[in-house]
Amino acid sequence: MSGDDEPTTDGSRDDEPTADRSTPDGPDPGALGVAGPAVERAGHGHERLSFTRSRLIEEGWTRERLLGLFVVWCLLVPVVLPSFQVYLFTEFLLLAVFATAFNLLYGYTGLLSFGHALFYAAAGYAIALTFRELGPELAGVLGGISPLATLLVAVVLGLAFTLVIAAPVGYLSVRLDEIYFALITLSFSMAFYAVLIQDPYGLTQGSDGMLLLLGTVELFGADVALADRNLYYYLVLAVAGGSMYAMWRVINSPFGTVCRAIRESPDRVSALGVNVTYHQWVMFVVSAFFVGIAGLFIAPLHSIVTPAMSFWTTSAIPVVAAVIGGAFYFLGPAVGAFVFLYLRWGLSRYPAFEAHWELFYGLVLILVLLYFKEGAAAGLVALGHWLEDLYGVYRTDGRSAAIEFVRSTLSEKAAAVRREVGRTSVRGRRSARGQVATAGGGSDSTDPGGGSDSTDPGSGSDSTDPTDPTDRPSGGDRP
Amino acid sequence: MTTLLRTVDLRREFGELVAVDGVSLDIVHGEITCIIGPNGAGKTTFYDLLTGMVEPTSGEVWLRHDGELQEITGLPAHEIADRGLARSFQIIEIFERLTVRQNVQVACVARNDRTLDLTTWLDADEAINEQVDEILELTGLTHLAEKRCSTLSYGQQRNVEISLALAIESSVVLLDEPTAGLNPTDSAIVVDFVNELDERTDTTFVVTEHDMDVVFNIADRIVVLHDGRVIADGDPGTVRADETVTEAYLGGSSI
Repeated sequence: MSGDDEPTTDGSRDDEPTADRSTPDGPDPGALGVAGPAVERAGHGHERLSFTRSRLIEEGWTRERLLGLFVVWCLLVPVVLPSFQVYLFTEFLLLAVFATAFNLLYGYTGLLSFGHALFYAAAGYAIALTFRELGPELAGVLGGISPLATLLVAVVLGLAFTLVIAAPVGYLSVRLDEIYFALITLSFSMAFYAVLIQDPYGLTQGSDGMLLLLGTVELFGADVALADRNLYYYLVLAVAGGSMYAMWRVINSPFGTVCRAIRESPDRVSALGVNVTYHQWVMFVVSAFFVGIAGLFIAPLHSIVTPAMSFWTTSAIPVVAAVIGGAFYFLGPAVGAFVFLYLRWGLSRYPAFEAHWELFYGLVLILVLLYFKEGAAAGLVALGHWLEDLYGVYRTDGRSAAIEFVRSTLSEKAAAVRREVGRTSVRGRRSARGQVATAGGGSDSTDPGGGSDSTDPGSGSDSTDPTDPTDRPSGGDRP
Repeated sequence: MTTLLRTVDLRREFGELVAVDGVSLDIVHGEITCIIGPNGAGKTTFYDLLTGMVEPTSGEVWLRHDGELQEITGLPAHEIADRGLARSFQIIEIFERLTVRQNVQVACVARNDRTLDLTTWLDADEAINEQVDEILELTGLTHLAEKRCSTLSYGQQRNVEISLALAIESSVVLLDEPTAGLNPTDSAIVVDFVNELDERTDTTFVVTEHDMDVVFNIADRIVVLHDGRVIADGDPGTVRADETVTEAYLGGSSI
């Protein structure tokens, strides 16, 4: 599988030995988690592409390197960014875990849960309660290092609590399909919301919520505040990185592949001798587990847990992130979480927008549903392909050819956008509905070939422009 | 002449309609049985009853498993498949957005009871991928392994469909109109293919079909269903000569 593969396999085979098969690596920001044996794309005739791809890899632009650059960027965040930005980036990492965990069930198993806030809130309240109830006790026994011990106990208890809830909720929910599944999960999360806000046992302080302060650890005579912004950032970075890697392994395991097959055709999987409901249930619990991790670590960041954590608007966050980012790419929901969070932050800087930020979200969602059929991640992949093409033209035909390439592709795209807008009034509504309804629908994450089918002609590079701003901050790996 | 699959007075009603009306059949090892009948004769419902996808109104289904016939009536579909009864679908049911290799991987993972393995890197699992390669080799799909199924031609998708049924290594494979929607050339290829598989594997095939050329090319035994009842059962020569069959099937003209 060296560089001179057939054009039909588009050079993607080149990075297989390095990235896909031999080194099962963690999430890959550069390629947006697009992995797998068949990376095909429309435009099979592009011989230049395989040339470019292999050339780039020869020059060291492997997935490992892109991942490495992203890791370096993450490590440098507290050094180069102001304090509030560190806070925001911490929140982004946790929302990325939340959305990716949700997507294990949505994009990878074909079940749209509208109640994942339940597990987010369960874990958040578990850590807050542990600190309130066990914190003082442990402080009496352990002294200086008790906050750290409390945190460890809270993580264990929080995850256990999440699993204890997820197992029966999942067991009952996976019996239902599609909209009924969405509704029953929604009901469970809203029931939990009602319990939190009515607080029948006087535990959760009703609508006020509970404060959560991690406290200060005395280590070797020095005081270390666990909630220190930079320290906590690194803690979250480790947790989020580990979670993303674990989820990446899960979707590439035999179990994950079976779940993707269930998304495609439950009847077929069951005719192969696999208990579909049981596997959906296991994936439900796995998904809830990782949502629990996000909930556990978001609570100390906000220093408070409130019933809103279990409200349906919280459940909507990963749904929106997955739709914006692209549910069929492993890193799609993470990209979506990035867009979600930073768009809100951007809007919050302008009071006029801030008051109506939901309106702007609505607009973004409409745009995504109409023009980025597979989400921003697909747009980024298309942008990556375009840059590769551009680089290929530059290397083979020189600078003026490259400029000509930019001009011609951009005007092609502009024309495509104009055509698209012209047709939108009729067709747009239909396709928007299609995207939401076919949860398990679009193409597959480990298989962006499907992405290209629809991304290339219409949403392909016209999506590059809108995704551009999102690309820069998230892909801080780019020099 | 070991009986692998037996139905006893199998019956299924959908409201007023009796789709399968008291069918008793023995499927024996090594014989290609063709179940024929006009549209609406109950062929697909019969398969659905055998494989647990539809529950019978009355009657029994027995399947040889661990060396003896065991009753499987009313078991869930996945347990029946697990005990060695595989099927293909008349309307293609494959994992469209996965590659051919991934499709067969799923079946091989199921065959090896590895579906709850959450930690292995599937593409690096030699045991499973060896089996996958064998199946792809057997069904001639090796060169298409890395293609997404939705990009394949209809005939190739049929082939994947059959590969999935084969990959779980069951004792009996039910093929539901394997040539449906194929042109004569592709049909001929599928027929040769089923004959070849029958010789190369220990699997026993049951095929529903309404293309008579196909039927007489592959069948060792023909069962004719009409309005949910068996109206003829025997070797091709006998069935061809049977007058009730000609009557029911083609309104009098000969087959």
